[in-house]
Amino acid sequence: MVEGTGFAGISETPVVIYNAQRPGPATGLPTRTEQADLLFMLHASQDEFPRMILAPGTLEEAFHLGWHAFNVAERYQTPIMVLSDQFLADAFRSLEADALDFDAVEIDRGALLTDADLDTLTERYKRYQITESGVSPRALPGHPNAVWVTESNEHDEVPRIEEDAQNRIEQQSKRMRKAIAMTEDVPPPTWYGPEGAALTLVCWGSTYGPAREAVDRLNAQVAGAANLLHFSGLEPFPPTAETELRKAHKTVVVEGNYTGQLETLIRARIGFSVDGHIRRFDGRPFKPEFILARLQEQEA
Amino acid sequence: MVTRDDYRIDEKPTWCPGCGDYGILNALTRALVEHAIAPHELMIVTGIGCGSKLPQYMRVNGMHTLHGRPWPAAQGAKLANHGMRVMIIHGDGDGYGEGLGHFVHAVRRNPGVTEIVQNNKIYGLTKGQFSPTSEKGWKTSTSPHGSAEDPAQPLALAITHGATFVARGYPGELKHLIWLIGEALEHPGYALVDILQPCVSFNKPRTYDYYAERVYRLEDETGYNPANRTAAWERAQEWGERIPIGIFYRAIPGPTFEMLDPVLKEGAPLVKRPLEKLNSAQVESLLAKLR
Ligand SMILES: Cc1ncc(C[n+]2csc(CCOP(=O)(O)OP(=O)(O)O)c2C)c(N)n1
Ligand code: SF4
Ligand SMILES: [Mg+2]
Repeated sequence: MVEGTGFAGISETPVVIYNAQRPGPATGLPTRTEQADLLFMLHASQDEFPRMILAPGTLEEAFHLGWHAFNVAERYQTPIMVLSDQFLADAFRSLEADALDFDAVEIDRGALLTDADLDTLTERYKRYQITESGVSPRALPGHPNAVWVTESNEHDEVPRIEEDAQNRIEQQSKRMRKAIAMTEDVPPPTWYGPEGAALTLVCWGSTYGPAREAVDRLNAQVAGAANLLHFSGLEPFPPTAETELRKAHKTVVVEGNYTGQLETLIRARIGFSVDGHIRRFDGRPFKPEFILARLQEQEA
Repeated sequence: MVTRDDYRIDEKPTWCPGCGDYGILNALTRALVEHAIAPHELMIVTGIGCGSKLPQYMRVNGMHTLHGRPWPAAQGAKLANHGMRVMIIHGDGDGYGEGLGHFVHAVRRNPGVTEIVQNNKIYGLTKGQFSPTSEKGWKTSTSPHGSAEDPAQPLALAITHGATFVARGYPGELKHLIWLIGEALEHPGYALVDILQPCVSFNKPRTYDYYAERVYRLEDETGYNPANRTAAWERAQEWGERIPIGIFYRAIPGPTFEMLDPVLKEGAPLVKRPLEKLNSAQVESLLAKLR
């Protein structure tokens, strides 16, 4: 899987990869849940290429990020990862009939050339043409005016296999440039609960539900006690994350892994150190009671 | 009309002088021209190895994938566009080593894909390690005491798993090879042409001279009937003083994998169909399943 991801990266093939995380490594606890693949998905493959990581927090968000993932894959011609987990994948919840907004669905094939575009092509088609955005117009094989080889080796624009140093710099930079515009398509972190609360829980993916309920219970005891900052876009790291995190008085990251992968990512990307964390790696999903009990322990 | 010029490209192969891959490229191009297949109607999916660079040396649609992984991409290409001719071309290390699992499962599925194997019985690109078709006892850089493994039997394996066109060619017999590739291209189902490919740099035992003395054509063998599956299976494993080339086994294939797919049964190939939003009736029936 990992080498195929890199192949999609260098060959600029749009692909959506869905990972419902379970505790590992290897077979681990194959029927249980965890959130320990974030940094793996961020780095899976040799070398570097742009990618997007989307981690829906609710069933509704899973629906919308699902189609969004296919659109951004085609817009940027690069792998897009949807990071779910066993808990979210197996979760049942009653939804109102209109909870999923099918009208909002859009289909964007990105810079995909049509037969009509190719009919009028006078020069040799360049699959990996150097462009300012890094995105090269994509033809589908089959048209007489666009005959080319999808390459896993480094290549020039045409593409021929090419090891020239300058060419490598140009092609690698072209691919990496796509990440600039991708930051506009990554969902920003969202708030739940009262502004300016004394405590901010920070979480990602499916931990949204239990964290939200923990926040509700804390606010029922003391108004304005807690709020929640939830990340469903993790790569490219959302540009608003820093401003939002700096609004919080006290931050506690709640996530399902041993080492604190979101916490690590936040520190790596914006140099922000959180105030505390609650982690779980016993294969069980978070529950509000679990979060509240840990908060109490930490205060004591 | 398709001509050899259609396939010509200004690119010098990086293959060693004398490499058997030149003959295979030549035979393939001629077969394609003879059978009037134009470059844009064809997709050649390759793995990684010396021979797998082949699509770079002709003007053709190609996909130069990963070592051992051309099969998943080739099957995907055929499903996405079953109107296009798909060939898969790779070395012995690639398709019979790392890719052996993909190979067997692909053969079982009978996709409408033509497979050509540049079988030089060695890892050429990485400079001479023993491969799955190297012979027992061969000393190479990774088998200094002689390989302890019996070679894989890809032709017998393909016959066992239901392939209906199984052949072996040799670039020293160019006309015969062109004919074989052409027959494979015309076969209405999965077809395999394994090719004895001399690697002049790293396979010293299996030279042009070695093969020239031993190869014989099954077509010249009186009494050999390529419709007899058991005989084919046995003949596919003959190796030594006499080495058979030609069509080992040929039968009428069942429907191809893509023809059995309910989505592909009617209508244009997937790539030709517009991607459209679900209409309200489709949304309704989808939601009904969740109620
Ligand atoms: C996953 C992976 N493993 C190993 C390699 C290194 N590698 C490249 S080519 C090759 C062997 C090539 O042998 P073969 O497939 O027989 O092709 P030939 O060069 O002989 O034509 C190997 C092991 C690789 N590129 N990728
Ligand atoms: S190493 Fe062998 S297979 Fe590779 S190009 Fe040279 S002769 Fe051909
Ligand atoms: Mg080889």
